[in-house]
Amino acid sequence: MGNDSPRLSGPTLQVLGQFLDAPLTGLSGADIAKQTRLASGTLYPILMRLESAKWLKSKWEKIDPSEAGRPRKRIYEMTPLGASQSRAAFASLIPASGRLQWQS
Amino acid sequence: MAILTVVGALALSVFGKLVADEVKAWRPQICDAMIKCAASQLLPFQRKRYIEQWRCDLEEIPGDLFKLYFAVDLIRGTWLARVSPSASQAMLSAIENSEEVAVQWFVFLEVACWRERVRLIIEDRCCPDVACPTSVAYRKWYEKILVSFVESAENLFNEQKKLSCGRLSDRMIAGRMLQRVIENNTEKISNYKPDANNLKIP
Repeated sequence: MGNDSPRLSGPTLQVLGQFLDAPLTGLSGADIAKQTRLASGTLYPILMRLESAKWLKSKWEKIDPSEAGRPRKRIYEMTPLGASQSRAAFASLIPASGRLQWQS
Repeated sequence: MAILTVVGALALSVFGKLVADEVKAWRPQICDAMIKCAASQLLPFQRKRYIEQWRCDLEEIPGDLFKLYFAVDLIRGTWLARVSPSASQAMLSAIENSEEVAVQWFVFLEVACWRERVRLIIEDRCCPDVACPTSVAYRKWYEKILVSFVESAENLFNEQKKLSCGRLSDRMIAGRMLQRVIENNTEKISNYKPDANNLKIP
């Protein structure tokens, strides 16, 4: 049940695209918002859905907030399940016309 | 007329600056209140995490107006997420994915189910042995904790009802949540030793 696929709307694909291109260190919600320009009310419910579907996982940044002088970030990473499902989703979006062959 | 326009423009600029200064001064408190409001739409055990996360992400946004927009839009987003058709499904997923509270939820839901069984017995719709086939051994323990649990359990249960937007009955919420928590935490639950004096609601 935790593996139910989330609905792949345009904004969801935008978010997934960021993770496929993302560095291995992961992305915070603010990083994703900057890249995708999605509003907070759109972005965070998407992140919640992807996390509950186990396509993403998240953890707190390992810093001491008092030393760093800022609060710790919540870092999202894509799971292997999320990576394979996202690639499949993007592959299915490739226009089929390139693969069509007219019968002579 | 020209004098009135000049005076009006002057007053507007002074008043506008005052309003802007006020908003700037109160912006952190306003944003924080909005973040808490947005988090209140989430499940109880998710709130602390998201408040901390959103406070941090808010700090990375430049400009007071954009910060306010971020906070306002969070309320819109969490409200829409709460009332969406998949809200109850997301609620169940969030609960079962939260390992740290799964065992506490198990206890809470067992109590909720037990209360439902008791209600059926009281209403003479079910005989005690059928209603509590597995819970007899725990009945004394349940009775002991029920007194302290009942108010908090009711509050939490009502929150789950609100989250499911009335689409699920009490019994269905308890039954489905319990079933999934048990399925995913069989080992933890079998090793769980209830301590009636030190129980915490998640």
